[in-house]
Amino acid sequence: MMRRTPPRGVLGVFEHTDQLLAALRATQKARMTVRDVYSPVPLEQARDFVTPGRSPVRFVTFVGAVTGLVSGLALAFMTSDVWHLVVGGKPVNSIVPFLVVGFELTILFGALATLVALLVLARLPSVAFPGPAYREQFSLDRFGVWIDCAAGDERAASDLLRQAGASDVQRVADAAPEAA
Amino acid sequence: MTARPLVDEVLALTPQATPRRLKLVAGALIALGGVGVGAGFGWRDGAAGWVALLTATSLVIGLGVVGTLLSAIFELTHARWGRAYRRLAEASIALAPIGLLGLLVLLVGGSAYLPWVHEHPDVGGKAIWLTRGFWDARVLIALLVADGLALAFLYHALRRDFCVEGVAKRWPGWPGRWLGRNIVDREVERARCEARLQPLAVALCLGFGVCFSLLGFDLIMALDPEWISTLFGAWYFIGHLFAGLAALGIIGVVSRRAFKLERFLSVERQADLATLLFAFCLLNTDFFWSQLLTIWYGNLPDETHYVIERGIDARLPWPTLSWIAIAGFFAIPFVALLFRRVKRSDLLLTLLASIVVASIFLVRFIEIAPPLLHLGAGATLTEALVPLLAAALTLAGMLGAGAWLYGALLTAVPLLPVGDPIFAAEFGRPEVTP
Amino acid sequence: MSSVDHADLGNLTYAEVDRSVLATLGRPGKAYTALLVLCLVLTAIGGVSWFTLVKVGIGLTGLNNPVGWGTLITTFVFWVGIGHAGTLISAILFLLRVPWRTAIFRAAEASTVFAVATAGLFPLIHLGRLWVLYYILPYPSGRELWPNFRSPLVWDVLAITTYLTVSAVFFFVGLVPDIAAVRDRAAPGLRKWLLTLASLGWVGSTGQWKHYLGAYVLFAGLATPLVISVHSVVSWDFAMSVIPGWHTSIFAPYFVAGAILSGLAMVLCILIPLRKVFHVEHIIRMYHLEAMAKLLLVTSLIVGYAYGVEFFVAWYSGNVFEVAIFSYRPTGHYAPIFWGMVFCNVIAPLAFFFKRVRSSLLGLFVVAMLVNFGMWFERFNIIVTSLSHDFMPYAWGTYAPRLVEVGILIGSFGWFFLLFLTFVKVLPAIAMTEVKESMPHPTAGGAP
Repeated sequence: MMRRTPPRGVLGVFEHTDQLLAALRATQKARMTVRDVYSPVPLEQARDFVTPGRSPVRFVTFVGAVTGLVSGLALAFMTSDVWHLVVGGKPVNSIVPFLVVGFELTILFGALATLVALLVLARLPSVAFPGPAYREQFSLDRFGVWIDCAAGDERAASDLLRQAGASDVQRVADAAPEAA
Repeated sequence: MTARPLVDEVLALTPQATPRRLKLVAGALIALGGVGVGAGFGWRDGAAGWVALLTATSLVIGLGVVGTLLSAIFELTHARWGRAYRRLAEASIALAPIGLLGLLVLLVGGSAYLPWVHEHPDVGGKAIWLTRGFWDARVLIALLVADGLALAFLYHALRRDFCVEGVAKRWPGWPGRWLGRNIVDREVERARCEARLQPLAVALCLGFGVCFSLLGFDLIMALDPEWISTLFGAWYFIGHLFAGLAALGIIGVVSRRAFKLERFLSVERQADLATLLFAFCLLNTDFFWSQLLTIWYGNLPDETHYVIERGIDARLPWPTLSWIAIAGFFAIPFVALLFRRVKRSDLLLTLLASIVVASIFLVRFIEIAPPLLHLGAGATLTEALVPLLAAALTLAGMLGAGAWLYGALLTAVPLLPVGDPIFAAEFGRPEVTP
Repeated sequence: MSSVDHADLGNLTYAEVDRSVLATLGRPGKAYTALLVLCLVLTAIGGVSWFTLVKVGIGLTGLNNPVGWGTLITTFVFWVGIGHAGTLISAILFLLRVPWRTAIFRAAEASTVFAVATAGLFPLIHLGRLWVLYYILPYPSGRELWPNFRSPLVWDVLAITTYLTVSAVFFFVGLVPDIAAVRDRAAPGLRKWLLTLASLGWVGSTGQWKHYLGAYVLFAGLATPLVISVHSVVSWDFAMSVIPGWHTSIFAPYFVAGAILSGLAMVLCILIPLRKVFHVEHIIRMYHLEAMAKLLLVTSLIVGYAYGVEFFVAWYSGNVFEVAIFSYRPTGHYAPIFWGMVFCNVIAPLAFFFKRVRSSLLGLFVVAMLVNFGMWFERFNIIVTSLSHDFMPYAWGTYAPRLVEVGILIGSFGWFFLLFLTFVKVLPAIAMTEVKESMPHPTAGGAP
C-alpha cells in the first residue's frame, strides 16, 4: 500500500543531545523537513519537531477497558441465567461477586487493547526494518536526524547539520541498508 | 541584574497577617458551628447533638495530624514533586487542638451517648475493653501520642527552616523566637534537625497508623459492640489520608492565588497531587470493598446487620445516604480524575476535592448515626437529614476555628520549607531580574 | 540532577551501561552452569513428584479431612505473592517517578512473570486429574455448563490469567528497546535474526517512542490496580469462607502487603548474587538495595500490624471460635510454624531500622532469606491451622506434608530459578534503555 519512493535526504549522526536539538531548531528556521529522529532514549523535545501531540493510545485503552467491564458483567450475568441455580445461598444474579469478574476483564481487555494500539500506531512489527536511515549506533549512544530534501538541497542540509555539531553526515540514498 | 535568593523570595511571599477574608470566613463558619451544635442538641432527645459532635470530631482529629503525616512521607521518600505543599500541609496541625477539645467534650459527656455504657457487653475482651475509665484514658492517650509525634516532627521541620540565614530575624516574637533560639552554628543545627526528622517521620507514620486504628475501633466501631471488622481501623485512617489530601488540593489552589505561589505550586504539581488523590480514591474504595465483600459473602448475621441497616434496608433513610457517599468517594472522583482537564483546572479540582471531603464526612456520619439515633423502620429522610445538617454545621464550625489558627500559623513561619534541601535544590535557581 | 539523589548514575556513559549489561549475555561461567544443573535437578525432582501424583492420585499427599488444602495451596499463594514485587517496582514506582527503580525493575519484572507462571502450575497440580482443568474455563458447552462466577476460585482463574497476561505484555513491551540494542550488537547469524524478530523492528524513531511512552504509562496504570486486586482475590479464596481465622475483612490488604514483602525479599535474594556474578555493582548500587530494604521494612510493619489487629479483634469479639483459633495458632500443634512466621516476618526485618544492617550485603541477604521462609510459613499457618481447628472439636485433625508435596515444593523453586537463569543469559537483566533515560543526557555544553 505504501508508495515505494526512493529514500532521499541526509542523515546527521550526533553524540550530544544539545547539538541535536540545535540542529532541529536550525532546520525549522531554514524551513527544511525533518523526516525522523532516532535515539536510544526518548527525547521529548525532539519529538515535538517531528510528531507533536499526545499519543491517542489512551482512547483505545479506554474503549478496551469499558468493553472488558461490559463483557465481564455480561459473561457473569448471562451464564448465571442459563440454569438459574442458587449456589451457596447467593442470589442468582448477584452484582457483588460479579463486579470482581467485571473488574478483572476490564484490566485484561484494557491492557490487550493498549498493546494492539501500540503495535498499530507505532507500526510494529516493522516490515520496513531497518529503513534507509537507521544505523546500529542509534540503539547505543548516538542520535540521528534525517532531513528530507531533494538532491539539490543536500549540500545545504549537510552544512546545517555539520554546523550544529554532527559527528557524521551521510546521504541517505547512498548508504547501503543494514543487513536485516 | 539581581539574583533573588530563595529565602528572600519566600519571606516576601509569607503573609504578614492573617488575610482578612480568611478571618471573615472562619468567623462565619464558627458561628454556623454554634448553630449546628445547638440545633443538634435541641432536636428531639438531643442525641443528634452527640452525633454531630462525634462525627465532626472523628474527622477533625485525623485532619489535624494527616497534614504533618504527608510532610513526613515526603521526608522519608525523598519525593521531589510536591515539596512546596509541605508547609501548607503541616499547618493543618491547627486543627489538632480543635479536635482535642471536641474529644474532651465527648469524653466528659460519654455516658449520655455511648451505647455500651448502659448495655454493657459481658462477653469477650470487650467487657474489659469497653469500660469507662479505661476507654477514656486510651482514647485520650492515643490522640495525644499522635498529636505529640506530629508536633515533634513539626518542631524539627520548622527549626530546620529557622537555621537558614535570614529567617529568624523576620520573627522576633513567639513562636519564631523559640524556634530560632540558641542556634550557634547554623549548619550543625540544620544537620541535627535533619538527622532527627527521619526517625521522627517513621515514628509519626507508625504512631498515626496504630493510634488512629485504635481511635477508629474505640470511637466508632465500638458504638455497635456486636459488630467487628478487622479492617475498620485502617479504613478509618485511610479515609483521613484521602480527605486530607483532597483538602490539601483545595488549600493549594486557594494559596496559589492568595499568596501568588505560581512558581512553586504550578499546574503540573497540582496535576501530580490530583493523580495521587486518584490513587487514594482507589485505595479507600478497596478498603471499603474488602469489608463489604467479606461481609456480604459470609452472610453471618453478626456482621450483616451492620451493612443491612446502613446500605440495604429500604425502610431506613441510611441507604440513600450510603449511595450518595459511595458516589462521592468513588464514582465521581474515579471518573473525574481520569481527565487531565479536571486535574489541571482550579475550579474543577476544588469542586471535586470538596465532594471527596464531604463524602468522607458522610461516611463517618453513616457509621455513627444509626446506633445513636435509633431510627425505627419507616423513619423519613428528614429524621436523618436534620442530624446530618447539624453534624455538617458542627464540622464547619470546627474547620472554621481551625482555619483561623491555620491562617495565624502561616504568618508565623516561612510559607514554604526553605530549610528543606530538596525544595531548595528544586527552586533555588536565582531569578534574574533586569 | 539534585545532589540528594543518590541513584544518580551521572558518572556513567551510555556506552559503559551497554557494555556492562551486554557482557552479562556472554558465555556462562562455571558457577552459572553449576547453578543451572542444580535447577534442572530440582525441577526434575518436582517433575517426577508431579508425575507420581498424577499416576497414583491425590491420596498420595497428606491432604484429608479436615485439611483439604495444605502445602500445594500454600506454595501457590506463596508464588503468586512473590510476583507482586516486580509489578510494584516496575509499575507503581514508575507512576510515582521513583528514580532508583530503573536499574532493578527488569530483574524484578522477570521474577514476576516467572513466579506467576510457576504459581499457575499449582491449581493444575492440585487438581490431580489436571486434564479436567477445562471444567473451570468459561466456554460454551453442549450442556450449557458454565463455571460459577460467584466462586472466588473462578475469580482466581480470571485474576491469575489476567495477571500473567498483563505482566508478560508489560514485560515484553519494556524489553523491546533493549532487545533492539542487543540485536544491533549481535553478530550476523541466527541469533541476530531471532533478536530482530523479537525486537519487532524497533528503531527508536520519534513516532515509535511517542506511542511507546503513551502505552507504557497506561500499562503501568492498569498494572497497579491489577497487582492489588490479584492478591486480594487470592486472599478472598479464604476470606469468603466463614471459618475462624479465614473470614476476616483485613485479608485483602494484609495479603497484598505480605505479597509485596515476600516479593521484595525474593528480588533482594536474586539481585545480591546477580550483581556480583555479573560485575554490575556500579549499576545496581547499594543505594538500590537499601531502598528495597526500606520498602521491605514498611511492608513488614504493615504485616505485623495485621497480625496484631487479628489477635486484638478476636479477643475483643469474644467469639468462642475466633478466640479458639487464635489461641491454637501460637500454642497448638503448629506453634513452631507460627513463631517462625512471627520471627521471620516481623522481628527480623526490624534490623533494617539500622543503617549498618541495610548497607551490609550479608545483612540484607540474611534478612531477605528469613522473610522468604517466614512468608511461606505464614501461608501455611493461615491455611492449615484454620482448616485443622475449625468449629467442631470432633472434626479437628492435623496434616503433615508427604514426600511428593515436598518434592513439588522443591521442584517449584527449581523451575522458577531455571526460568530466571535462562532469562539472564538470553535477554538483558538490567533495563539498559531506562537506566540511560535516568542518566543526564550526553551534552557537549556540559549541563543537561
